[in-house]
Parts: sequence; C-alpha cells; structure tokens
Amino acid sequence: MNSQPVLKVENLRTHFKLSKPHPFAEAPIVYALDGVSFEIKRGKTFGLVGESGCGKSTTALSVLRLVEPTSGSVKLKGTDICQLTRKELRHSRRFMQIIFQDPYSSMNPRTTAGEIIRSPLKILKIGTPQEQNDRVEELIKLVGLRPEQRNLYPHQFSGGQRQRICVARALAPNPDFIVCDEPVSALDVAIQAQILNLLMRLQREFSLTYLFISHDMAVIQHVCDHIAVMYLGKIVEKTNRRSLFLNVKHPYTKALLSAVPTTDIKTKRSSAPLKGDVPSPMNPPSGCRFHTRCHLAEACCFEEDPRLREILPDHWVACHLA
Amino acid sequence: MRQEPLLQVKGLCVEFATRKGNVQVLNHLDLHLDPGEALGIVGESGCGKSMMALSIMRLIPAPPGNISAGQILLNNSDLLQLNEKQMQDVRGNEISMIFQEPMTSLNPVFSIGMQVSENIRRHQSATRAVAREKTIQMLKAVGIPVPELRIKQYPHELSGGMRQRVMIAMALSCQPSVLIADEPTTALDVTIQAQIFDLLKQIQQDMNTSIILITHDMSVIAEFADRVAVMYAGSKVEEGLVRDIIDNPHHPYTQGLIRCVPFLKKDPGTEREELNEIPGVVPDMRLIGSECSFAPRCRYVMDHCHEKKPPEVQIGKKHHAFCWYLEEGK
Amino acid sequence: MSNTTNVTSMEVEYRPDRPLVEIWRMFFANKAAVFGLVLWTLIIFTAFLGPVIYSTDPFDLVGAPMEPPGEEFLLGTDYLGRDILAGIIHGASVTLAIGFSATIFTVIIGVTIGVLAGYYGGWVDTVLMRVTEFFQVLPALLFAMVLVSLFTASLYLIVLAIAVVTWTGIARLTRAEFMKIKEREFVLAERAMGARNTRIIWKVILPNALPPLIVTMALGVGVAILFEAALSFLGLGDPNAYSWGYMIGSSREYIWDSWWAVTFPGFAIFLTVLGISLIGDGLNDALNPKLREL
Repeated sequence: MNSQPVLKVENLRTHFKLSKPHPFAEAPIVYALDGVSFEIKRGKTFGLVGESGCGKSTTALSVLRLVEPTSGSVKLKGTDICQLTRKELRHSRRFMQIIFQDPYSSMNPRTTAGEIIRSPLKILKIGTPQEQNDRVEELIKLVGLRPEQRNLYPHQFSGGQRQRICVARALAPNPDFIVCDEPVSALDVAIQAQILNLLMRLQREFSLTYLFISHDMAVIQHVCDHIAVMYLGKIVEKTNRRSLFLNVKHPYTKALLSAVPTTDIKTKRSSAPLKGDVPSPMNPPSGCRFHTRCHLAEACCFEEDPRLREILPDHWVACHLA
Repeated sequence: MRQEPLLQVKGLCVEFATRKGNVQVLNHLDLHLDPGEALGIVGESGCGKSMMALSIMRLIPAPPGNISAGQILLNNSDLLQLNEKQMQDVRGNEISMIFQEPMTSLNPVFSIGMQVSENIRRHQSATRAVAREKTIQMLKAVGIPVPELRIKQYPHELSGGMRQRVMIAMALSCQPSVLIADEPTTALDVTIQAQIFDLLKQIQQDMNTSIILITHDMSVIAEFADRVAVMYAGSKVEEGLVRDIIDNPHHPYTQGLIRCVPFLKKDPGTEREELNEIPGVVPDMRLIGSECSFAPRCRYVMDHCHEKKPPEVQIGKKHHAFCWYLEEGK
Repeated sequence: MSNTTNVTSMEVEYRPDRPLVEIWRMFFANKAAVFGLVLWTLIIFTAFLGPVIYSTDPFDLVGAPMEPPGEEFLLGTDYLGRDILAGIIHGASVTLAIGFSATIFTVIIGVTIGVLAGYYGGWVDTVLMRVTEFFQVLPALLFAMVLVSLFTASLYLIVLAIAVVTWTGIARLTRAEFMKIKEREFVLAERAMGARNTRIIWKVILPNALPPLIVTMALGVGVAILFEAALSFLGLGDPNAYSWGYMIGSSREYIWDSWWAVTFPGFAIFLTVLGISLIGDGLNDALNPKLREL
C-alpha cells in the first residue's frame, strides 16, 4: 500500500498521577498506556481489543487529546495532534470525531436529537444556520431515522436509535477519522448488527477511517481490517484480520478467542481459558506483563519485557515464546 | 419418566399503569423449570424477561406494576398467594437472584463477609461464629482465594468478577433450589464471563440448583443453558432444548436472533461481510393488541398475523413455537 | 435485509414532548404547591395594586395610637397611630423587593463561585471552598448585623448583607452539581466536538444543574425575607422603608398593649414564606424527571 496513513500513532504513553496518600509519599502512577504504535490507512478500520483496564479506551481518548498523553506523537493527516495549541486543536476537531459506548449518557438529556446532531456544526461554526439545518435533515435520513424525530429528546428513543443519533453527530462536520469506543457494547445483540452495518456502510460511502475499540472478538473480527490486541497498556499482538485468526500467536489472544461464547455447540470450550483477574496497571508485573496469568510462562518471561517482533509478514507479536 | 417441574409459571400476566394507559408487559406467559436444569430466557431489552424474573421474586414495584393473572408454583404451592412475610422467607432462601451490576447490588458500607453472613443468619438461625464459618466456606466455593482475609474487604476493593462471585456466594448461601441470574455477565469481560459460567455450571451440578439465566445474547445461552425460551414483547415465541433451537430455529424471530450474532470464524478471509440484522425496533408495548407482535418486523408476515394471536405449533418433543407461518406450513 | 432505514409501523409514535408543559402539569397536580402559588399571586397582587386601591400612607399618623382592630381601622393602629392595614399593603412591595433582590445577589455570588470551584477543580476549588467555609462558620445574623451597623442602614446595604451571609448554600450546591455533571459522558462528547469552556459551563452543564438551583432559589427568597425581618426587629432595618419587618421591630416594645401591631405583619411574613416554600417543594417534584416519567 502506498497511500499515506490518515492516522499514525507513535510510542504513545499516557500515565495518570493519582493524588498522594500522604504529603510525603510518592504520587502513585497508573501506567494506563505504555508505548503504543500503530497506523491506519484511509478508509480502513483498525481494531483495538482487550479486557477492561487494558488501556484501549485511554488510547481512544489520548489519540483525540481528550486526555493529555504523557509522551509520543499522534499524526492526523501529517499534523502532530500532540503539538497543537488549544486553539489549533479545537479547529482540528472537525477532522476527528468520536462515538461513545453509551449513547444515552453521551447526549445532553435536555436537547433534542436535531440540536444534538447540529451541535458540532454550531461549535465549529460550519455553515449558515440554514445550511446547518439542511445538513441535520440529511444526516437524520442517512443514519436511518425519520425527519420528524429530530424534535424528540434522547429518552424518547430506543438504544439503537440513540446510537444512530450519535453516529449522525459524529458525521456532521464531515470528519476523516472517527474513533468508535465500544459503539455497540451497550446495545442488545439484535441491535448491534444494525449499528455495525450502518457504520460499515457509512465508511464505504464517505471513505471514513475508524479506530474501533471493543472487548468483543467476534465484533472486531467482523468490522476491522487491522487488529491490535492490548494487555495492560501495551500491544501484545498486531496484524491484519486474516492473519490474527488464522495464525494466532500470543497466548493472551488465544485465551481471548476461546473465551468468546458461540452459538456453535460443536466447538464448546471445556473450561475458562484464563484464571484470575487483570493485574493493577498501577503496579504492572515485571518482565512480560502477562506472565502472571500465562500457562506457558518461563523464566525469561519474569525478567525481560518482550518486544513487539514481526514473526510473519505484517504480523507482530510481543512474546518470548512465539 | 416425566419429572414434576420444580417451578411452574402459568398464564402469568403483568400490567404496568402509566399515564397513557395500562401496559401489558407480560402476556399469558407459561414456563416451567425442572430440578437441576439451566433454563435460558433470551430476548431484546423490553421484551419482559426481567419482569418475569421480578414477578417470580414478587419484586415488581407495585404500584405501578401489578400481577393481574396467573400462577407461579414452586413445588406446587402458589407464590402469588403468599403474604409479604412468607415471601421474604422464600426470597434468598428458596429462590435467589443475582443481578447485572454487582457493584450496585452490594452495599458499599458493609464488608462482604458481613453481607454474606447477614443473609445466612436471617434465614437460618445460626450463631455469628457458625455464619462466619459458612461464609468462608461459601466464598471458597465460589472461587475467591483466601476468603479468611477477603471477608473483611469492602465491595470497592474487589474487581468486577470478584464482586459477581460474592453476589453468587450470597445468593447460594442458603442453598436455594432456584437461582435466577439476570444478565450476570453483561458488565464483565469475556474471560471473566467464562469463569463465572464455569462457576455457575459447577454449582448447578454440585448443589443441584436449578438456574434461570436471562440474557439478550444467544451465544451465552448456547454456552450455558439446557433449554431456552425466546421472548418477544411480553410473550414467549419459541421454546425448546438449546440444541434444537440453535440448530433448527423455527420462529422467524429466533432465526433472526441467532443469525445476527457475529460468530467467530477460524478464517475470516480478507473481505468484510455485512452482518445479518433484524430490521426495525422493539414495538411500543402500549400499541400491542390482538395481533402477532413480531409481525411488523417479520419477513414471512401474512394477513392473519395482523389479526389474531399466533397459535402454538408443536415442532418436536419439548420444542414449540407460536407462529402463523409455521401453522400454515404444517 | 441490508436496508437499515426500515422503519416499522408499530414503532412508538411520540409527539414531541414539551418539557415546560409537563412541569406545569406535575406542579398543578400538587395541591400544596398550588396553594402556595395562590398565596403568592395574592401577595404580588397586593404589592402592585394594593397601594393604588388603599392609598393611605403607612407613615401617616391617621388615628389614635393603639387602636384595636375594628370598624375604622380594619387591623388597628400602632403606638403612633399608623394604620396597620396600610403598612401591610404598602410593606408588601418593600418586603418582596428585598426578598427578590437579595436572592438575585445571592445567586450571582453563589453560582459564580460554585461554577468556578466545581468546573475547574484543583487549587481554584480549594481556595474558593476555604473562602466559602469561612463564610459558613460565621454566625450569619451576627455578621449581617455587624455589616449593617458599620454603615448607615439602607435598603441596598441590607440586601447586600443578606446576600453576603446566604450565598454559601447556593455555591456549595452549584459546585456539587457541576462536579457531578462534568463527569458525565456528554460533557466529554462536547469537548470532543471542540466546545469551549464557556459553552460547556453555561449551555451544557448549567441547564442540567438548574432544577435543584431553582428550588433553592425559591426557598432563598423566603430566607431573605426572614432575614430582613430579623434585622428590622433588632432595629437595624432601613427606617425609611416601610417593610413588614420594620413594623414588627418598631412595635415590639408595645407587644403586650397592642398585639395586633406585631401579629398581623408577622402573619403576613409567615404566609409569604410558607407560600414560597410550598412553591419550592412543588417545583422540586415537578422538575424531577424521574417522577415525571410515568
């Protein structure tokens, strides 16, 4: 592929300082995101998958600078987002938008659907009021709602319809890049398919670039072109869609895959693939961060942090044993 | 060898009074649960599956809710005839329930040991020491490491998976014969979800507890339940053994529910595919009259679907559905 | 099947909800609140039209001192022979003006400080909250007395003194609401769209924080009226403004000889504060969306 990536993230780190337990103590640091790199080409979807606390949502917010990254760079169409002043950052927001997990809580309950969809245009001062109005009308139809529904309030919609409003809002300023932060996790399975299809249809139509975040391997498999698996703030495996499922290498990815419930009764798994919980990102394990739950762990895993290596073409894994 | 069912729901109707009129959230629902069985209830939000669970527990907020007809028989005695005091002895003792969000269902100001042993002491006149012993035993049984130390901890000090384990321990502390799990893993990660289902399965076997699992996800049902009832807009549309339903769904809604689950392929190929979807949204319960409530979203819809409630169609042993299309095709 | 725009006929047919209409409906369902509203309508009517209809100047000595209520003076006269009824009618506007203007000042100070502390947090919050606590621990009435007695008592000064001692409640409430609402996801969504702080504060968070603030404001009017009455009773009121509090204050020494001179203005204050409290409670229920849902 020769096209320039729309988004290029390099060595992104986000650490949160917590308040000190007493005045003379070191402030505890949460290593939420610890050196993550990836790039996304135009019209493609890059998936981040992992359990809660793995840093995937922090990545979403850091890429948009909704939380300030500690170090690293995020280049959107060549401009480093991390270097922008606040004013420049506000202007560049029209090129990057976000869809949140819970559509209900991400909408101001006191405004109508129409106002919600219009708000980015108003904030970014795009178009005259008449043009904004027409755009809202167009977007409402585009996401599969009826024009008269623009005067309703968020609580009058069903979950799926609410997420449609959020999609329309994200689309309003005609962005290149949209972060989808678990866009279907709060929805019923029966509605998930509608929203995923809508997102894919819009992507084709407007050659949108998505950063798609989910904990659900099956959803990720369906919508993403490239996928990175995250564990405790780091990427442990990164490759294209086909290779990830055909040649899965990292033991954590394997565990995630086999934990997915399936309607295919013949492949019923025998027992839970992983024991225990994710360790605290405040005090991540030494060496390979996964060694506390890995059934393959050897002596070297306790000491040395494995680097992300390309072991197959375009297939990167951070594991000593892969 | 026909076993007597442990729990039977017969013709259950639940109404909610709203300003815009009465809403029938459950419409002549029939269900039964055999001893030691795991029954799955599946449906979209608003289909009445949680209402059914709350009705069995007699926890429907009344008013505005009201159980207007039907029977709920536990070992052949009707729970709807009990007074509140008798019902309190049933709850937590014979029927227990665990909820979706383990953080909000635990009281944040008491230690978990306190909360579990409290429950034991309420239903069984045990001394403090005995209850504490039992609590430790229960926590160990649900896979909480070093329960002797954990009982002093507070809910916020535990992870989501651990909290759900505590909830299960609390629900099981009096060896209930029925455990109702309302979306017990929706708030949890998949690897933790797998652990919780393993735990529930083990409990089902070891204690011979019957479990009612409520979820919106067909793949969870496939993973866990023995038998499944599919609900839509307050009515049951299909019921059968999980294997029959998954391999051979008859009702158009069930077919849609199964097909729209994105399932994991070994080789996904390089091109993305569109998912199957059930078009439209769940209907407003207020507008459901005497027609098949799925008709507006159904692709096999026929004229009399809009006129009369669909009849029960027997498909196989223990497998039936409610549908005009199937009735015609017989 | 790929057509996602399929909309079914059974879908909910909502008419666009008009929140204001809903709030009024809830409010009018509450009998006590309606009673409060009736009281207040009467009081405001008295304040505006009373002086036109009953034009006797309250400061005029129109009759014999300490005339009991009767034919000539419906509510009697005070120790100087001033008409009590005239005082009640003319005092209504003064009392209401004090109540409202003090509340406006209270809200301006309290909301500003609460917004800054709650939205920005950090050291801004720490500093402003220490200041708020300083004002909270001061005995309010005593502090107001000091303020008023340091300068010559005028209506403006009294209003200001009331605001200075009562703004802390509004500030704390605003701060708490802002801290709660700013964590909600739609605020993050606004930031993701490039919204400035000013928009987020005034157009996004504040409208969501309004219901409890409106209720507190309503109750604040009552508090201000009581405060003015207390100051006047202690002889610290504006002697040129004929408020109900002034009436009580000036006649307090003669309470055993002319009970009516104190009782009627007292009763007027009682009804006014009762009315606004009932309205406040009614609003509290009406503005609570959870109660409005069904």
